[in-house]
Amino acid sequence: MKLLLFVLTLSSYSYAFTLNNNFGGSFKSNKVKVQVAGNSSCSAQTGVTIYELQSLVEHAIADYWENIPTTNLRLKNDGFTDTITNMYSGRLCAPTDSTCISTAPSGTLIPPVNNIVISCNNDPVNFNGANVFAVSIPNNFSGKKITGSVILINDSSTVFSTLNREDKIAVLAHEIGHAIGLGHSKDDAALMYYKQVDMRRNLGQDDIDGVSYLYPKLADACGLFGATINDVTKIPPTLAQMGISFFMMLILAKLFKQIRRNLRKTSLS
Amino acid sequence: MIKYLFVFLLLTQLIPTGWANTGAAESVYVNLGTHTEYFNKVQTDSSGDTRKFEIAPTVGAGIVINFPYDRFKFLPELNWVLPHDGLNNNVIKNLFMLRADIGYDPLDWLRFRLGSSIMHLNQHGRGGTTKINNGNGTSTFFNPDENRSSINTTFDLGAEILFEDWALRLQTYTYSLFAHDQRQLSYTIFISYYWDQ
Repeated sequence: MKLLLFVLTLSSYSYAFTLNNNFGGSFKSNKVKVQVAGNSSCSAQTGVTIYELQSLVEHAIADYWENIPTTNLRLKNDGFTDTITNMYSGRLCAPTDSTCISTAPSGTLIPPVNNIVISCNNDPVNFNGANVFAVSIPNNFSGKKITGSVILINDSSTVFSTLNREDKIAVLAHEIGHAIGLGHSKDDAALMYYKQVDMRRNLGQDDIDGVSYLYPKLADACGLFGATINDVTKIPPTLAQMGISFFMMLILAKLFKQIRRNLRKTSLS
Repeated sequence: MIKYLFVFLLLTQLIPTGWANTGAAESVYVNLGTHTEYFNKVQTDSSGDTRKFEIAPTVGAGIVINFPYDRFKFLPELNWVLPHDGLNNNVIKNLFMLRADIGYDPLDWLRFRLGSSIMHLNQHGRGGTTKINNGNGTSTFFNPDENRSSINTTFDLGAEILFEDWALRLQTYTYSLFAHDQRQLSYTIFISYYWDQ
């Protein structure tokens, strides 16, 4: 037992992922579209156009969120959407934030969206400081299920333009993390750490654990090929899965029987 | 064709249960090791380094079952990567590996393993909230409060050096073998102790 406790103290784990600060929820579906507001724009202050923004989004998905085998989440870069109003100059409020809603100038609220919509935005109130690169808020949800989230790039200052391309991708990946339901991590190795770090090129363990918690994966017998079952909490196991479980339990029973027999033999001798 | 090969590998986890009941078990063994998840793909600090090795205590046990063919063995086992409380004690994480290999002993002291695992990743959230920096202030973030699991099947390769009753093993697990964007390699270094029948 002492040895076990000693080994445990050597562990290099760190688990500190949290869920979104508005509510601890996730998208209802594991397939989420990510779109850029095509009727919006980005000024020279941000250092990107909406077309470049779209390219950065593609990399943010591919370089970070697509690489985790233990999650069912599938983000799809879905081009542009032209239907959302107020994206460039409007006020972004969570539906539960009555103070934000009541203080927003009339007619400027960004409406609830479906999926994830990204835009540049020049309202400094949204960013709580000129040094904030971007913000993300699920602004369409019911209970613990998100229907839509908005990501805004700070176009009220030049802060976003100071980043190199890789760091812009990392910032967008971080905001997508919020949009899908993750909160901040205390671990500076995590993408969801609250501030930018010297070098960010991969997810940290907290990010992987967090997205695996929010969107767990249940592979079938052919999981080697990436087959998945949606929403594991609601779909009962198939006959094949129950069969596999039954046979595995048989193996386990045999295993423990053998170990018991051998331990008894050892103690007798 | 390749798909069927791996479905066959998976089925080999089930079929030899009958052999075990005929008393063909040669020995049982226990494992103590350390597990490294997603080799070289997980950032470990703010300077961009990635994880090559991790101390994550792992325990397990298995059986050696004789095949009808000389030098081949069937090796089912169960391993458990022990949980460890995190920075906030807000999530307990367990990884259970229900796995089986076909072993080939080309030499008396060397064993190669080919098989697959069912990886059961379980995370249990304790609920509550955590205050963390957010922009220029702090915010209260929710902690996970449910019990959730992910299940993956992996393609496994291993090599084991046998010394009398003891063995040293490098065991690898490949996630999503045929989905290159999600393919990840994890490994465990095991020390095993064998009891012969």
